Amino acid sequence: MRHVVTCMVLALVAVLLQVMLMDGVPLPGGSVPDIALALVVALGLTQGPATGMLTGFFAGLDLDLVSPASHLIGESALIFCLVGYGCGRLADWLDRSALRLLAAALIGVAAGETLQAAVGMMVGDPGVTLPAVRHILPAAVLYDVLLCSVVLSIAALASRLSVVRQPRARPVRPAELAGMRTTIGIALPSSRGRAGGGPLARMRPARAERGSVAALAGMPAARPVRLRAGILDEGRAGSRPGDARSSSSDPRSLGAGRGRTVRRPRLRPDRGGSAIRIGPRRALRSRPARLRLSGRRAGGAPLRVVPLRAGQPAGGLFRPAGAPRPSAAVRGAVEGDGEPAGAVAPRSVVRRLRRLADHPGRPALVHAGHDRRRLRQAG
Amino acid sequence: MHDTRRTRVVLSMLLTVALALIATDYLGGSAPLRSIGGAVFGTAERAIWSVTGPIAGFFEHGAGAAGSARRVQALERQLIRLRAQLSNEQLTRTDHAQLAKLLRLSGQGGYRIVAANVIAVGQGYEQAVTLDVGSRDGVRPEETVLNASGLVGTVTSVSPWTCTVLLATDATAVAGVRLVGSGQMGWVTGTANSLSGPDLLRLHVLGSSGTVSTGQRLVTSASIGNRPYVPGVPVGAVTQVGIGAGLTGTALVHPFADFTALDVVGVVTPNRPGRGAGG
Repeated sequence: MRHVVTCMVLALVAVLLQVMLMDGVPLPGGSVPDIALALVVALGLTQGPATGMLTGFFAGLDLDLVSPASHLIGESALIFCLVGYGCGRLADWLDRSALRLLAAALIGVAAGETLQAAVGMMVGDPGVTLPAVRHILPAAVLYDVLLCSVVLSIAALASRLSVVRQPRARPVRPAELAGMRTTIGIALPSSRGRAGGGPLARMRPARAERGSVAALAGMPAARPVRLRAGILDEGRAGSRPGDARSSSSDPRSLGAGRGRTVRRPRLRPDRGGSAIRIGPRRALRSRPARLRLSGRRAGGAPLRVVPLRAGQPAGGLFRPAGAPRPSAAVRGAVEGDGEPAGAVAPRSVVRRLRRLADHPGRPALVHAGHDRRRLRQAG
Repeated sequence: MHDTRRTRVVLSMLLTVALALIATDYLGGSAPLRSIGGAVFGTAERAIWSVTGPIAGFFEHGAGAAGSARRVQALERQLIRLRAQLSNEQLTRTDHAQLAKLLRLSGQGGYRIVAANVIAVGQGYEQAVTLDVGSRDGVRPEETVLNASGLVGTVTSVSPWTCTVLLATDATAVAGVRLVGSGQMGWVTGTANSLSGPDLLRLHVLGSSGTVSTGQRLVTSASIGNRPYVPGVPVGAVTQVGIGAGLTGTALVHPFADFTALDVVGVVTPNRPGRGAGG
């Protein structure tokens, strides 16, 4: 519900800005940027189909009802709703590439403007004639794309600020852990013994999913960094590398899919030791990049994961201003539980993570997409 | 936020609602919806304008020139008033008696000009603006809007605080005109944004366009009850005479009013009995 209201308010603000501010500006090309359309496209691309279509519908309805409008009521609502939904579908294709984002924005605004002209002609709006469309359309699309990129940047900035300002860490239960799409998730050996047990890991579920603003913002610097870690059976993983890819330890089952039917990694606390797999989502899909860490688990104590500014890549453009550098974050990432006896993380795990993070010239915590080989060697 | 079954259900619901709205409006049943929208959005627009208008003026004219800006606005309003008076006087002198006899002009008592600011502009293919005066200021639909230079358009819909003006450059706007000098009758329509450069009007005259010459000026002709246009308002000057195909000759007219930079305009309202003679 809050979501819907947010969409409505955003749409209303965009439309009022449009008619009161933007439309009076005399720009070459006989057109002005369409704030509402740019907003709908940007939200669709970053937030998905539901947000896109809701914002589109409300923005369109506002545009239909706002004072100097004289076209049919519902016309813009229909068009903007479709555009928002389409852009939301396109978000899956983006894959956090800047070029694709721009292309998608172009497709979105071009579709929006063309549909507006087409529907106007279809219902016989006397203002929408072929010469008028030819005159207005190119400049309108150009302005909209420019404005759309500005809106995307503002959205990225806003989400960055919101990330800094709301350190909303909540304890995550192990049962959730496996199914959740997390930026970092470490399934812990001892969690088995405490089924649904206490707060093992404090983290936020990654709100930055595919195509999200936060993820996009980190885009130029690094491909998505998606750290997934599961403690595996050390004996198996250590002896036969190929095994790490198989069955229960398959990264795809580690919350890599759509976050639904996910099997938790098989944990063998009795065997001791651990392996942590790290890699970006994409790399995981094709060829799992691995970092195997052999270490001895000390006692049966749980590890604790400290929030790594979850919801965003640990590096890149989007690191919050006040956030520690990734290396520092990693240093804090795996640490003892604070409980007196035996609550110590595997030293080697910490060491390996530190080394990885301190590597110079790596903006991100793990950059396995480009670094598979290095990681493999590290393993 | 992924594409789920629920998302698609909501999408189809929204699309159905939009299509229903379109159908309702197409069949002409959307008057209440429009009036509600006009009231809500008009009030919001006017409220925002009352806050942002002075700020915008401040930035536009600079800190020191705030006072002079106010004076400029006052002078502009006065100019509009005088312009309207002048056109009225001219009309009176030449053929008012005749027209009054023919059309029972109700404008003998002169006009009342309601000065207004443009607070919102239509987007895309629409040539319409919103003014910050509404039915509470005595504005009614189908009243002439002009500025210091000439004809701007006519009021199409009115909400309590705002009104919507269809500009003369809109493709649907038709204004009856007379050519100054020859007195030939005709009408101008908008060119619907299809021509680059300044907004132009297209003049249609009955008979051949051979009698129309470049540079000739146009004023609005009288209409019944002074609606939608009061007579005698300058419209524009002929810039290009085309060869008429068919019964009417056409020409392009450059309007006197600058439609890309509308600011202070005046709405011509009749002096209604009981309201008192306004400025």
